Amino acid sequence: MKKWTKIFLLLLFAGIVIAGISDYKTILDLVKLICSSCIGLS
Amino acid sequence: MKLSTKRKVTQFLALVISNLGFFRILKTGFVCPFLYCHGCPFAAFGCPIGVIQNFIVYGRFPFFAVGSLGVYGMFFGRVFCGWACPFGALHDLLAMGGRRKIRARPYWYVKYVSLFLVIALTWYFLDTVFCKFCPSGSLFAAIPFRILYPGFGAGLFFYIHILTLILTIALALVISRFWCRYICPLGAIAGTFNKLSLLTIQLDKQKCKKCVVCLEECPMGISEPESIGSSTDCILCGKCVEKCPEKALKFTFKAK
Repeated sequence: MKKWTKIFLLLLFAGIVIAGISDYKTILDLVKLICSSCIGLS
Repeated sequence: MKLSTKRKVTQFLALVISNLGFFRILKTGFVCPFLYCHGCPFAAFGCPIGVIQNFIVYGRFPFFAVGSLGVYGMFFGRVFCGWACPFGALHDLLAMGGRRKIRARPYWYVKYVSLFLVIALTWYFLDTVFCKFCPSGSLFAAIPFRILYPGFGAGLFFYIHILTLILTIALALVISRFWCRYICPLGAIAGTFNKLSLLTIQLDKQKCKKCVVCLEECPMGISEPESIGSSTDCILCGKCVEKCPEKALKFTFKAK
């Protein structure tokens, strides 16, 4: 695969990260709260 | 330092870093590039599969998790499975006994069926279905949680967790890296990037004598030397690089 295609894809994914930067707080809440499925409670 | 020793060190460090959430201030909203359950009381990062499922339940596209997996993948392919994943490290530990293993075929597509089922079942039931069965969650979340808080007791879902963990361990004893080969949905995502990633393992065809020592050493059962580094099954563990008598394989980091 050409170098520029890889660079394009890398920038695209970096853009998706930036577009989803507001998800950070939601994920932090998931990490802080104990997931009941993961620990076998429900 | 030998490559295999370096790998053990990074696997241990990854386990330590994943548990930095022991200090509550070090809990973050980043997703880790390997399967480590954020149900673990000490988890510092979100499990990518857990995060993706939760966002499906919320009715939101998981931009941050998908973008992060894309960036990890574009740089490193599936290297985290071989060098960092604590559940993968458990599989390596189980393989250390030197017992006779079944030479199972890779069936690369099975893990994509698993990934599809994870997404489809989450979407259909609007629940984190995979997390209820995930053996990594059993080992790193369900069991430690019961040790820390014994008052919670053990119900049906806990026993399901324990059953999947026992099954996975039993199968890993006879098929090397069983979970990583056939089931891991995160391995399916990361493996897709092996053809695109900047980090890869390159074969020097001039030096290769087709002795297939590399394939005999491969814990993922890769069947052709040409597929090393680019196959969706390759976890870039470097066992082939270390064992190749002709030094025909090497890690490279390049854009071409």
